[in-house]
Amino acid sequence: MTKDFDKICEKYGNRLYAAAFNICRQQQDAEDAVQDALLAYYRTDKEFESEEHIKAWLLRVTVNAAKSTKRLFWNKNRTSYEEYMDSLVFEEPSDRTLMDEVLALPEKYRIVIHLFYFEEYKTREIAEILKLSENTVKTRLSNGRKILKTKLEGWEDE
Amino acid sequence: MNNNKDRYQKSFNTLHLSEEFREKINEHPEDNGKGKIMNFRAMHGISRIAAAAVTVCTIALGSAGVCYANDIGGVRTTLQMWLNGSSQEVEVVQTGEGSYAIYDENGEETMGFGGISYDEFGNEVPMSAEELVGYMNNDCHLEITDDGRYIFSYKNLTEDVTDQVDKKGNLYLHVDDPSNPYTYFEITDIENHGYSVESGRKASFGKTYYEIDSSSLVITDVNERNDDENTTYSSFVMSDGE
Repeated sequence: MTKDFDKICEKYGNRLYAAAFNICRQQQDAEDAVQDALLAYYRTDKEFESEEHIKAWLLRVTVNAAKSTKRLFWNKNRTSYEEYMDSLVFEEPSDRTLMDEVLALPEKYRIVIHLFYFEEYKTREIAEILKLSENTVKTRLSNGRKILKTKLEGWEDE
Repeated sequence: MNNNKDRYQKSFNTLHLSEEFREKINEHPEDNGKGKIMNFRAMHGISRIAAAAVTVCTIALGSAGVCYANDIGGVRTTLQMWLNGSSQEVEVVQTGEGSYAIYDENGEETMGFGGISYDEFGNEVPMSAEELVGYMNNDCHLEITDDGRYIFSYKNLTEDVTDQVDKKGNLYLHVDDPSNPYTYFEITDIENHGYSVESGRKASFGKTYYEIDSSSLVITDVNERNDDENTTYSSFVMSDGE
């Protein structure tokens, strides 16, 4: 497939950012992770079979980059979580509450939750992206849901 | 709308990349070549760390007076490094994953830096001190003096480039160094304690580069910076802001 950098950025940029923010909980770090992923895409010689393949690959690279960014020692002195969240325009207060509660989950739960609910991946696909066993993904998904159920009004049983 | 997926998506669809991010991406279209893009990423990282470094170093100096190499654990390596136009022997101490601190001959911390590379799957590979210093030794540096002068340095060369700053506050400089292919420097986002550098193999289209006097340049080993197709470098440098 021919690479179109602008198109990829336009098409997946916000999705990658949402995944990165889910991990970093910090705007600049999340954007750095997206940048890493986009440039890795630009540089790789990997043959992509489909748009879905590109998306999954980019998500995997973004998640890895976001985890790396979060671990590094310079992860300080950036826009605070509260400051950034206050700058977002949520349609309803409950939307903010949901995001707050998701981002309060342990990281290993929330990225699985994100890939399941936002990207609508199946547990098998999430396992492939995160390089985990499907059982681990199922467990994390289940545990994350249980916590959300206790925190969010109207969160349905599944 | 009340099922979990819809609720989740409605909430997280609020997140968007910033305009600043999009502008930066658009400033660097791929027509400059792969090497250029790779270096943009790497050097953009320098700006990131420079901003954070002020905090890190202030904490270290403020709490302990001066931070000395002997006070710090971790793997130590002695390396030659170009600093402000002179080659100095520095002690490098690992301080974290892919991060290091530099100590001068007096054992005093002068700089922190870090670097990571990514494999083709985006996995982080922390760079060694030798790799990073090798990278930095083939890079340019900019010092902004208290009276607002811009002092460019590259290996043993130093030059006041204040008059070369363009209307947007950027610098476009070229050094004639046969040992290093990355010598077209674009220095942007210049702030008090940080800046971004793109180092490219060729001049960016439409830009005029000021030629640094390279007649006295010390030719060092050929820069063997690895820019194969499967590696993306990300390196970081910071000063203590003093």
